[in-house]
Amino acid sequence: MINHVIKTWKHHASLQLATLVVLIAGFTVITGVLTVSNNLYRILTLWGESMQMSVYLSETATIENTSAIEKFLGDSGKVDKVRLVTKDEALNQFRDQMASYAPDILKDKDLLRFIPASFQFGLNKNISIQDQLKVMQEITASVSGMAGVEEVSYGQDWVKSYGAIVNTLAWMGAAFVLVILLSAAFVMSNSIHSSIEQRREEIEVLELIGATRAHIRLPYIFEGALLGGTSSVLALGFSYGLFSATKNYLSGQIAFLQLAGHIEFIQPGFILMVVGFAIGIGALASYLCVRRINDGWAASQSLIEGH
Amino acid sequence: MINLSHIYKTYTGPVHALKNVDLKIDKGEFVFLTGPSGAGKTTLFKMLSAYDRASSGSIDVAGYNLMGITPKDIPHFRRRIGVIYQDFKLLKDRTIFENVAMPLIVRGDRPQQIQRRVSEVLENVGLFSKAQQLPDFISGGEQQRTAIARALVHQPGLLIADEPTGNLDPELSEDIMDLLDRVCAQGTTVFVATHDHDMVKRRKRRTLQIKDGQIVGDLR
Repeated sequence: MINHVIKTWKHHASLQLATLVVLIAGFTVITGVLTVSNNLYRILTLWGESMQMSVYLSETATIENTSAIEKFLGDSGKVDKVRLVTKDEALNQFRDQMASYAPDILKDKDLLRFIPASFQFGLNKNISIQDQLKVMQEITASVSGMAGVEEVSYGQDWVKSYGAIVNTLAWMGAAFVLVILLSAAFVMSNSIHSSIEQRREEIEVLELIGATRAHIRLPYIFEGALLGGTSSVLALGFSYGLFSATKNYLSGQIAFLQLAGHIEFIQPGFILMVVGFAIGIGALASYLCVRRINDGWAASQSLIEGH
Repeated sequence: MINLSHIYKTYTGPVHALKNVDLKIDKGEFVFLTGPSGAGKTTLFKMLSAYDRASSGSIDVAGYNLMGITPKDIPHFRRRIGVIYQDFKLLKDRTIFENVAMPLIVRGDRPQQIQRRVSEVLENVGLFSKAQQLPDFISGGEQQRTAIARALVHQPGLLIADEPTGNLDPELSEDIMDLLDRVCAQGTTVFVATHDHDMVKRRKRRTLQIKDGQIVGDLR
């Protein structure tokens, strides 16, 4: 089979090269789309991790009420880093933040009296970004009814918008990746199909001298798989080069966004998936094309089709 | 060895390439097929070699019913016959040796056997010195001899030759016909289409005549 591949490259170099270039382009697009969508998701997740919830305690909240709320939050398994901010701490924070903007407000003792104690916490990291809004709403519903709770806040409007954006992007991303995958598969299988079609005579002659289906098809299937595998590896290398250049640009030109530290190339699992997909599509396209020609009567098909 | 009954081959048009052909050739016979261009010689050979399918009738060749042959059986049938095609059908990306070796490779012969047998046949057709050449770098006559060598290499029970000496000079044509005679003497049935009436007369073999898709003469 290796001999078959060497001979094919030796005698149909330009055709094979053209096929390889088309396949590399196809897999570069696939890898690029996977990298971009993966990093977009990572960045959105980072934003999600920085989301905070606050449970404000009422003036009348007792120590028992506070403990019960803390226990409930701790036992829920949905939240992380629960921290009690006492009235004094809240006041100090407020002073620190407002001192330079409105020094007069700090003198208003009545106003400062209304700053409540609260529990501050983030969501557990295991909760997916699509589920964050739902979980926040559930926590709000459960905690709001507890004794000693004045109000629950998590920036409801912003979280709703964020959740909608994440869901839309997730659906659009999945649809886009699917369209790109199908298009790439179509282009690649056509390219392999055309490569084999041009060597139709070889299949005809092999049939006429009594070669079995396996004898005829296996070398082509192997060749298709090898072509797919090679092109995907080259495309991954090319994509990694592009990724590195982009990352360098992000850390140099727009460093203030602090994105470079958070973006990464596709995971090893995805890399294996791309290579596996490439080998599979190469082998499948070759098989389907050879099977269509190699029906036992390839030479007479040529008479009919006028090849 | 060959038994054809009421064979018709009709192409779209309709064009009747073969009309009600009946034919019987016994094992070990040497038979010529003559007729003008377009008479149906090549079409008849295509039916006999399972290159193409007849429109109707029955074809039995080398123990296979070609009208009802399954795709799985086609390669096995083709391994039992040798065919010399008018257009040679050589693979241009393989050497003369590799082209001739193909019937043995697909049969699964051992490399040493292939080496020995291919060398022997190439010697017989006078192409041993060109074994490593590609078809495009040898003459038309040499390509024809390569096609003959490939048809003989696996010692088929039936040899079908469509104008096997068409591109050869008279002396080489006689050598090739002598070779086919020897092959026949060893038990192979030989069926040869030719335009060369002088050669047919000299060889004094059974001769079938075809005209307008019909067998019009059978001289023994």
